[in-house]
Amino acid sequence: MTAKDIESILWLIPAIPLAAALLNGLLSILFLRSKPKQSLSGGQRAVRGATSAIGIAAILSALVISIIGLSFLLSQPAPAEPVEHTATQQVAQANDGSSAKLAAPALQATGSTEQANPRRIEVQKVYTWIPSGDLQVNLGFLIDPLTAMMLVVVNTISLLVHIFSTGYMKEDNGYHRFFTYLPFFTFSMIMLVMSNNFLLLYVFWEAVGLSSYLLIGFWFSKKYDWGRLLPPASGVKAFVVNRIGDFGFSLGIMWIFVTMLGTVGSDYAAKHNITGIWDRLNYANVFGAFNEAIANNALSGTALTFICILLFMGAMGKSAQVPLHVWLPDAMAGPTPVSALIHAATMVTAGVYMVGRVSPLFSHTNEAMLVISIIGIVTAFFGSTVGCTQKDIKAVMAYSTVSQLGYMFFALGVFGWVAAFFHLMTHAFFKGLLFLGCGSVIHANEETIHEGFHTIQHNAQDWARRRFPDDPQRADEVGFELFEAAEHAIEYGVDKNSKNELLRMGLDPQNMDYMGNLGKGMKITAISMTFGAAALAGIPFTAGFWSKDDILGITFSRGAENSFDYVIYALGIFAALLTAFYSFRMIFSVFFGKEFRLPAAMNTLAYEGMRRKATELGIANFNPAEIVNFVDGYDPANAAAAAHTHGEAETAHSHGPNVPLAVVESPLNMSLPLAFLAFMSIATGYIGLPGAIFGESPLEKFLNGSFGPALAVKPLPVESASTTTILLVFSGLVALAGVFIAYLMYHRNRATLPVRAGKLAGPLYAFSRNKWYWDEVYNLLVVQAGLLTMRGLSMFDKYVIDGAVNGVAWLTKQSARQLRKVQTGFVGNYAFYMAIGLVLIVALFYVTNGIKF
Amino acid sequence: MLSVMTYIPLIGAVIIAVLPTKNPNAFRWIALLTTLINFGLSLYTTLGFNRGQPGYQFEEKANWIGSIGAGYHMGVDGVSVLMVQLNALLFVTAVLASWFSIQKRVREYFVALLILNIGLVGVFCALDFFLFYIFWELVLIPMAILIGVWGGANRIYAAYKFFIYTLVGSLLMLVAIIALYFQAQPLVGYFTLDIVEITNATAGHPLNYTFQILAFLAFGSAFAIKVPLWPFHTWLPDAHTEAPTAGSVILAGTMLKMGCYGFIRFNLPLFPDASKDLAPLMIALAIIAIIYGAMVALVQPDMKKLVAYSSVSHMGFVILGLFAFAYGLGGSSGTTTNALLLHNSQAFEGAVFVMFAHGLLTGGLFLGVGVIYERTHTRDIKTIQNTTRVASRMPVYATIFLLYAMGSIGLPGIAGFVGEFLVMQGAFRVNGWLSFATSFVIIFAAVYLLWMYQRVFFGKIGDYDPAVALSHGAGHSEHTPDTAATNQSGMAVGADNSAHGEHGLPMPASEKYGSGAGPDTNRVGTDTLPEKGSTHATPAAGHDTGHNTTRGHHTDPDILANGAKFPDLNLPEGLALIPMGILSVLVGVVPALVLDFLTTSGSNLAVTMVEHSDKVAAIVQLVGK
Repeated sequence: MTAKDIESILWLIPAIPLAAALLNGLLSILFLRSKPKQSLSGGQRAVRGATSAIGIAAILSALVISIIGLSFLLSQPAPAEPVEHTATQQVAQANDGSSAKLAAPALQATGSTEQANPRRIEVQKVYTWIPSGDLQVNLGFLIDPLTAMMLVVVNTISLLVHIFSTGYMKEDNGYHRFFTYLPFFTFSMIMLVMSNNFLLLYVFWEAVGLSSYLLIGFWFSKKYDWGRLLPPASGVKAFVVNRIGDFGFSLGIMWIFVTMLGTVGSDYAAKHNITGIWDRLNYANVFGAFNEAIANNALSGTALTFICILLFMGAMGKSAQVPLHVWLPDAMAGPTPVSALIHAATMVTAGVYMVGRVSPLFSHTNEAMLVISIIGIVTAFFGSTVGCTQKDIKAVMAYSTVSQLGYMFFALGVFGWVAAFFHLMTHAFFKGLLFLGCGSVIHANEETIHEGFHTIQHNAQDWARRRFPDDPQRADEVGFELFEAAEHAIEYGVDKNSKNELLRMGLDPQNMDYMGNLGKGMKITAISMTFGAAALAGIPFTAGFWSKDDILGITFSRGAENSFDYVIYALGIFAALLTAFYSFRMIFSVFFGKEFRLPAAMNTLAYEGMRRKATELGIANFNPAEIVNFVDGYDPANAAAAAHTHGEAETAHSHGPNVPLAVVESPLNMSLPLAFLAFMSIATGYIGLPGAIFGESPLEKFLNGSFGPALAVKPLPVESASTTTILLVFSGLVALAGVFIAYLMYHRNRATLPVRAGKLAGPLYAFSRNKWYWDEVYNLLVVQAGLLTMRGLSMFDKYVIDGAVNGVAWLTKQSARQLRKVQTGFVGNYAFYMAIGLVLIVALFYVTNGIKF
Repeated sequence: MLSVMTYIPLIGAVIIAVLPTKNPNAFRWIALLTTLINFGLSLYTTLGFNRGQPGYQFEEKANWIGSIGAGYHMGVDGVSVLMVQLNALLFVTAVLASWFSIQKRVREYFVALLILNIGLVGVFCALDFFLFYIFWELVLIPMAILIGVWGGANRIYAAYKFFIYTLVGSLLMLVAIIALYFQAQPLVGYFTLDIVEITNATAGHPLNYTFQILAFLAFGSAFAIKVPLWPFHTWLPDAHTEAPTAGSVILAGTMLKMGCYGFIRFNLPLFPDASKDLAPLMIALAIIAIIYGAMVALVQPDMKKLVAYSSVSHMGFVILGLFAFAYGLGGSSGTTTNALLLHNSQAFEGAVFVMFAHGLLTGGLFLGVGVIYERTHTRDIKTIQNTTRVASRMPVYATIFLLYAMGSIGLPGIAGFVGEFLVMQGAFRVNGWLSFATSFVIIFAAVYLLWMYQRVFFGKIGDYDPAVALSHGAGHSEHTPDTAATNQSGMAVGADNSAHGEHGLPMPASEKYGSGAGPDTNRVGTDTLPEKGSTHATPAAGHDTGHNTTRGHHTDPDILANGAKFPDLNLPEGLALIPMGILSVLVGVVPALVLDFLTTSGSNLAVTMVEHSDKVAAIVQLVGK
């Protein structure tokens, strides 16, 4: 297989998912629209099923082609590097390095290419997207180590999420819609990493934003989400906050183009014999021209810094960096598989990808890199502090994602390119796993709750028949009313003003307070998620341990050049401690512990709801416990009964008020992806073992093909094997310490210690629980102030501008009305006016010409 | 060809006017046929247009009023052929949009619409000042009638305001045309009103600078009112709000483009020095329009007003682009021509692209607003929000509306983005800060359209108060044991659904997509009670779809639950909205379809505008690219 062959099949990678998305969209619109699942005919159900099959098949083929591309690149010799990146060669050879390292030489829009780098295949031009004078933007594909890695990661996770979703969304009315959006997202993300110029990057940057908007708002008809922002609003929030980032991103691109129009571009064109119109936004051209200009001091450093910071603004939006992180936690309103795919594993890492892709520019500007590392470490720290106190299992994961993205960014900020992407990859797997696991847990919880509803309904009916044996009409009515009250209380709570969160909000299936001991019921999920959490926490020998330590190690070594990096390192270690704590806080409170807390919570709510309804209906001596009493299905005392209910739940309902509840493991199409990801969250660590100890890792070797130019500007710092070992041991200990604290608080003393610790921390706890009050501040300073300004402007428009228009009209009308009175019809009046006019004219002549009588 | 296109609507209008029938369908079909023929002809013109050839094509020239030098001269260049094409497309959709929504005075309505069509084709084809002015004013009357007769509650005020405001501008232009007539005489050698001759003559010998400024202002005020440029925009929201749907589509789609077209055809080539020197002023006004329009749009309570203000914002882009382009050209009083700006074709091409894209997208948005208005008889966002969740009931409509909204926001891949990006890029070449200021619209546009979309299509969210809900519903008398049993089995199936909070609304088979539903059957409130014995909402799903009685266990804002008639797009609406949506995606993905028409026009204009002394050098540069 030659490079030409690869070139000819590259287009299939994005095209197949796009085709799948379009096909599914067409099928949905033609046959299904928004019909609920129950009312579908047989044929429609087949179409519904076909949409997911089409999606999975498309992603699978895209994945296969991506892997072919990756293996082809691996089979090629590594590019001849004029500069070795080993630790021994510390001297920066920026000048001769930067010009010699240009991956691809002068590229003309139409001309065929001559590949200097065998590990970089570019399809220059499929067609010219925007031909406008000297702005010539070609649609093209690029595959180099960075892209190939991203492609495989994106497609793998996407495939697993597709498979998982066939189970998770099984009963959803929007199934077909979901399987239209998912391939569309995958297409956009593939094109984002495969595009070969800045404007296309922006285009697909927006396209993933659109998919994210659509998928966050997927359950647009949700009316109540236990106090979280509802899906439609979350979608808008995500899109708008991202647009704030894009504001900078697009300005950065325009600035690059204008710079390329100036001497930077023309010198480059002259040097490389480019004539005619060429693509001035193509990566290779831009990097080549900028690097030459920097080498010749033809480019102002300030301009470069500003360009980079503007581009980074886009990354901040997409990758949820402080202060533009506010959308990501709310984006969890989307279905959980979406959170896994888009808002954890792939789309949110687009910012990291962008900075990595533009590394030849970023590496020249220390100021922008400092900004990146500061934002990154602040985000990492912020996310980990907030993650410690959230009760919503998805919120924990969301803030964890924010935090981990912060890690990647400060890794970039300290010029640790490969480390950042190593972490990106491992994070994609373990965070994807954790989110899918959350999905599995939530799914199981919801199933259990509905099992409970079913029982309540039946028992209430039975109870009412016993209570009103003479009046079956009333019995049915009362039974149904009581059931509805209980169900309603469980779903929505009973009293909005209650101090008790449970009574106020209802039973949130995502709230970890009502979980516990789930591991007994769902072993695969529990074990896989424990692996994922271990990777996230950085427990030794997991993937997350190696990648996080890679980042921390580079940061520490950079401290020798720039002592500020020690501060970053210290904060990073502290954040790692918190990370280990919150990830195992989740594991312990969800899967371990002695009691399954859901039944008790259901009882509380159901009783309160039924009691109120009973008072309303005037039923005396009402004792809700006679109707139903949920008990822990894992308690051995109840186990026998549990087996009984589960066996015949659908047919027999003749059990008494004591009902054991227990979660059931999700079906295989949901649990197998988890198991696979669990394997990956250990295995992927071993392609990037620390170079100082084990020699240059395969991942580093491979990715250096993309980061060559950047590394030439600023090579990696020296790391001795002993220092690296010490750092590894240290961060391993830190992670274990975090796990130990979580064990003490959430396993040994779950009933008491967390509350006491919260009280002890006082305002700090509140600060963290309320996510540092970002939303409140934004609401006040941006939303409310903005709306006020705009309302003011609207008033201004109505009364001042339009007032002026209407005022002129009024003036005309009034003056006409007054002037009309001059026309009196009396000859005498007219004669009088004539006389006055005559006198005035004569006077005028007298004044101007000085006529003398 | 052009004359045929111009006068075919007249034939249609005459036939409709004299047709001895009272059947409104006859009028509708004739109007549709006329606009379709026109569309076909304009498509033929567009396809036959030679994009590389400078100057005008399909020219028709005849003597008319020899004594004053007025001739009958028609012709199109790249810009006008696009506008004619857009216009023809929008008139087809306008007729489709009026299919069911216009029920009174159908005959008169279509006559007015077709006469409007004559004016709009003529304006873009006329190459003689006299002829141009006739068409320009001809547009005014039927539009004012459309607003004043078939408009909303406040239509008379809006119609007057529209008419008088634009007339004031046109009169200033008339004065300027007459002045130009005399000023151009020594340059041309004889009295003429031919636009091409005057433009060619002034290109060689620029007009007197003071005259240029004055004439620029006179022409400019006519065009600025038409565009409308801030602060002359206040007639637009009123006119849009009151106009019928088709009127809004035409108004936004092509009438606003008349102003932009005027700037391109007259102000820039005839008064290049003034254009250059007044460019900072125009750019400032344009940027104010862009930001201000977006900010005011954000808080509008009325959907049409919101879209109208977004038009103000988008038209600002056109003006920004045109004068960012002009900034580098012309200028006997200015400094030396900046070589970088000479190539600023992005600004010009972007501006015209925005004109085209705005026609498609804002036209589509207005059509969309019309669709919802047909069903709810209101455009008030809050009312619709409290009425129903449109997205559940009209999925096709929700999809296509989102497409238009996203295009208008400037999502790449849809037409809107290309134009706006090119204009901003062109402005950036003049000065980065211009682009910086303009870029805020990237954020605001997303806010106002998506917020509107959320409120209109997803209904009321986050309004749930369990205490209120629980205290309602002392009994469910309609829950007979039978239904309870249905509920029981229904819940087992729907259990998962409600856990996720997704509750599909039962859609009776009668709500199928299809045509033939007159407006009366569409009307809300005619059939809001649930059909007895129809598929009852399951208790689980009941939290959303609600038991549609006042005694329901909690009141659902969706007053149209269950059996209400709230059909998805009917056939004419679908035919109007869907092809245009596909076209706007096509143009967004292959913008060369439009941009190819503009390259030659752009460089022609640039050559005309470059100052005489620099001309040779400039032409060398321009041709060199």
